[in-house]
Amino acid sequence: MNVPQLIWLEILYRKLSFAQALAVLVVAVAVSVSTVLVVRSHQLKAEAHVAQLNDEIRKITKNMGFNIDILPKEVNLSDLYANDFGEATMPFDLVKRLADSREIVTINHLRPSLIRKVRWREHDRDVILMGVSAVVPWTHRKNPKKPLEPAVPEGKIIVGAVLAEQLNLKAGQEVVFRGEKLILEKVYPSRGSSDDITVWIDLAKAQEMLQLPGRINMIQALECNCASIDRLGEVRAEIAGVLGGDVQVIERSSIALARAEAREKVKAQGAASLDQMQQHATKQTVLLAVAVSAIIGLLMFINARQRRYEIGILRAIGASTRQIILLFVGKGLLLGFTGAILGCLAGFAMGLRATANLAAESQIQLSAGDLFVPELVAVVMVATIFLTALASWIPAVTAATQDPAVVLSQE
Amino acid sequence: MNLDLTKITLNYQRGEHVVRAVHDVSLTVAAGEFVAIQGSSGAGKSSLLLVAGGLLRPTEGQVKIEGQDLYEQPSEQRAAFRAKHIGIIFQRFHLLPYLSVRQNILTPTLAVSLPDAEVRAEQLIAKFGLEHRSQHQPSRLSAGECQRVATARALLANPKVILADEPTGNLDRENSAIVLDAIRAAVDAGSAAILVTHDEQAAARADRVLHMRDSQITTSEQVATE
Repeated sequence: MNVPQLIWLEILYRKLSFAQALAVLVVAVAVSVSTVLVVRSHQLKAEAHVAQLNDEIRKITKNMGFNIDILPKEVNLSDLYANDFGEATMPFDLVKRLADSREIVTINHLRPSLIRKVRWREHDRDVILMGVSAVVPWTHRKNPKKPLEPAVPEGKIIVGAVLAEQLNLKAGQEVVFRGEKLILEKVYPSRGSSDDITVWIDLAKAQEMLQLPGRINMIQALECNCASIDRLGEVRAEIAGVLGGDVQVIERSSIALARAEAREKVKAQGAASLDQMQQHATKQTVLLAVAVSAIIGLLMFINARQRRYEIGILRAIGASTRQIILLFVGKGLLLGFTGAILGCLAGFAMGLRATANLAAESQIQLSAGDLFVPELVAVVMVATIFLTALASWIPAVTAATQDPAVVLSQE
Repeated sequence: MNLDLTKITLNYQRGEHVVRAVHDVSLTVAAGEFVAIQGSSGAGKSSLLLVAGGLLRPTEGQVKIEGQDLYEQPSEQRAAFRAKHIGIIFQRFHLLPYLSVRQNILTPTLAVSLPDAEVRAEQLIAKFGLEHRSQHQPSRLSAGECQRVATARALLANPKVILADEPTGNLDRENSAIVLDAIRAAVDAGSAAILVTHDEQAAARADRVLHMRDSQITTSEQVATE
């Protein structure tokens, strides 16, 4: 005769009682797990909504454009402010030097361009020609940013709203620009600036048209809004550290700053909402955990308390305290382990079902993998097993340390 | 093994009152001696038996078996000693409801290693006429059968001291005889035994009969041998 044998025989004898205790345990664990999953799914959806909102704000505000212009040192700023660009040029290589540098951290989106006021001979009018390339990727940065403005593909042309309207141009049609046949890629909506009379083509094509191979006259960038007090000063210092005195840096537009601030605001608001939700969820989960712990603890305590008579008998025939505690805690562990596993499985099934209903109401889909939290399973398993063992241990150890005759006489 | 009880007093609290269950009782039961204790209800017989068996710590006094004071031993050691050397038969049987007859008889092996326990259990089952009941649980047994199981369990480890509390109280004459014969046989084989009983015929199987009244032993008489 040994303790595991006694545990097994007792369970077989009180099958219904064991099944009832197991059922209560499974329900308690399942409700806890499913509640946590539902709360988590709400949270993940809220996070996704905030991310979506951020992205939409980014898309809405991206047309506000770049706010840092890096110009050749020879550019006269008076001319620049009068014409929106300066005549002086600089080598394309400067962009590469910036992109390859590890020291530049306060700006994003390096876009080289070549700008000139030119005659669109075919339509007999002046326009601003902007040759642009794709954003030059940073050599040492991970997770590249989405481009603010896409590059103009070779053989394509983009025009501003006023030009398109006045010249009756439609996206997709073929246009001839200074002798080059190009397809009109798209028409930018009105921006209320010189962009409305601007023509964008591929940088290489512009350099060829203007006979300025390898030259650019502006590098546009976006300040990352991560500098501290003297933002422009810090950007200038960084760029000077890489390019020396070959360039000058100006902050072009306060609109771009407003853009960054708007995005920061949305981000902060989203984070605050998520934090609030997290706190609320944590309170709910803690309350639930306390209630479930009380149920499990009480269940096991009553079970062990009802079996004091057996403890008295076993003590009377000479069983040790250790054996008696093992007998009760062993059953508690078995019940806790089985209940925790079945409860987790049932809880995940219930949680996924509830989440599927929520997903149907919203645009955001969550997979089982998104909701599966190994830490939750570990905590539920350990807590349930610990609680069942503890709740069995307390009455067992109390009865086992009393005189057997006292225990037997009380029953 | 001799059982020596010296100046045993047992008081317990009931509400605000202290109840005196046993008062200043001294008693020696020698190996191979069978002592019966008689007396009215509440005289302290069962309490004295529980104290003798190491199941209830006395307020004062010593219980020695072969010179070893039971209550000087830590509780775990006392339990182990009890498992090895003391067999206790309760009036209310105290069988584990989820074990079969055979398994109940073998429960002492939980506490003490008995190499021939299985064989011994089979012998006891046969001796007490329980072969047809060996796989049955206590709920399916009669009172007489339960008491035979309880007696077999108490005798499994061949204890040197046997303590029986009204073992025939619920039994008919035939079952009483079976239980008493078994105790007598163990005594004849060298065990010391104390039997608490109201039954005159049961007491007559003992070597000596003690009478208790008001928590004390009042008389002691030798039983005449036929």
